[in-house]
Amino acid sequence: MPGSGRLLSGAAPPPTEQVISVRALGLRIMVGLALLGSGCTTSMAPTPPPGPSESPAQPVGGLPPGCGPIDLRTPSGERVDLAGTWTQVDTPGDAATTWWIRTLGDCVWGVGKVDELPEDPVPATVQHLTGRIGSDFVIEGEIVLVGPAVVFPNTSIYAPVEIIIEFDDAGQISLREDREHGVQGPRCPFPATYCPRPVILRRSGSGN
Amino acid sequence: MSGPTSRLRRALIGAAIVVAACTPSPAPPTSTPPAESSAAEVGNLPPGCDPIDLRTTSGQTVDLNGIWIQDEIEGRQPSKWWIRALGDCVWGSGIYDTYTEDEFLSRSDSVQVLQGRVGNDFVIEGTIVLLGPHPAFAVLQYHADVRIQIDIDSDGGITLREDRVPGLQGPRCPDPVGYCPAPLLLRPSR
Repeated sequence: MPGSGRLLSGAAPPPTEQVISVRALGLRIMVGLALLGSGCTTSMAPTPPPGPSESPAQPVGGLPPGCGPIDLRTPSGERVDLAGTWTQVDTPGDAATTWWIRTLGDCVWGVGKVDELPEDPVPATVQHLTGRIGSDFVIEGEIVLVGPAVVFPNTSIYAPVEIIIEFDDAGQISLREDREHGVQGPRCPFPATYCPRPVILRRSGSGN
Repeated sequence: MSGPTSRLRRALIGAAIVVAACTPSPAPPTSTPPAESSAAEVGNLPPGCDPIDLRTTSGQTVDLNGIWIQDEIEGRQPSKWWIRALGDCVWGSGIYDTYTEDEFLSRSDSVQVLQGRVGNDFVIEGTIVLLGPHPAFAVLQYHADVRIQIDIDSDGGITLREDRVPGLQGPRCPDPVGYCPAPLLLRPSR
């Protein structure tokens, strides 16, 4: 290549050629900038349109940033909609807990609160869930124990969780935190002191 | 410095700036991909949260942890908010005090969740999601950005005040006539 030969020979290219090549490079960069800018504008466009899983009652605003459409179906083909009220089950001796869940696309928010606030509440009296639903029917997210202010020692106020969406033979949905009660882990760092029960929910009301 | 090399340098710097501008800003906590969250060790801050040290005018630490009360406003039910702050990250859950099933079915703001970050300017910037059902015929937005001011009075008392005019159309109030959650105005529970 002539150009390579010139560079290898150590001879400097004529100044005009250098200017032209730099200008051409600059032009290409400016064109690239413009294209990049338009691409950037496109990527920052309003949130994607609601996917097929969105509820007919989906209000204005579309999906929040970071949430994508998802279309999960039960074994019988019905759309999986987690929005609504849920009841914590499998809590012998524990206070009954109501959970409220909202889904927007694959994003999930939830609040769980014991129905009757105890006199000596524990941190898990009110729990705050955020997460994403995967096509594998698993919600991966985090739970924050938001109440009350009294913090037990050795409590993990914040911890990642995995919640599995399950169906029984009748197609009823339940949500089950993928963890054994009392077993040490992020949600239960010191089982001997305090260990919130795994979240196991059965639907008690529709969300819309 | 106006030669071709400097022009090339400026062009490259410009490209870098545009690329940086186009890089998505760090996602807010509601949308942080949870799969990337690592287990929070006891006593450590969750991923994405930083230490912050806000003080009242008298030098006391501003501690948002605890139960807060939203008084009855514009005929809305009073509600109780549970707030947890870890570093500059804030989570909150607000639930009507005495909702009935019927009430719940008619009010999307009967259950709300807040997630945001506290700034050194004493402002919580974040998002609120309405977990209650969608009332019939109402136009609303389940998910909206919020700004909440941390107001401190002369006695050191803290109030959390959503920076929004009641009834004014906006993301939290897309339909002022049909449905408009009252702005948050929270005082500590005694």
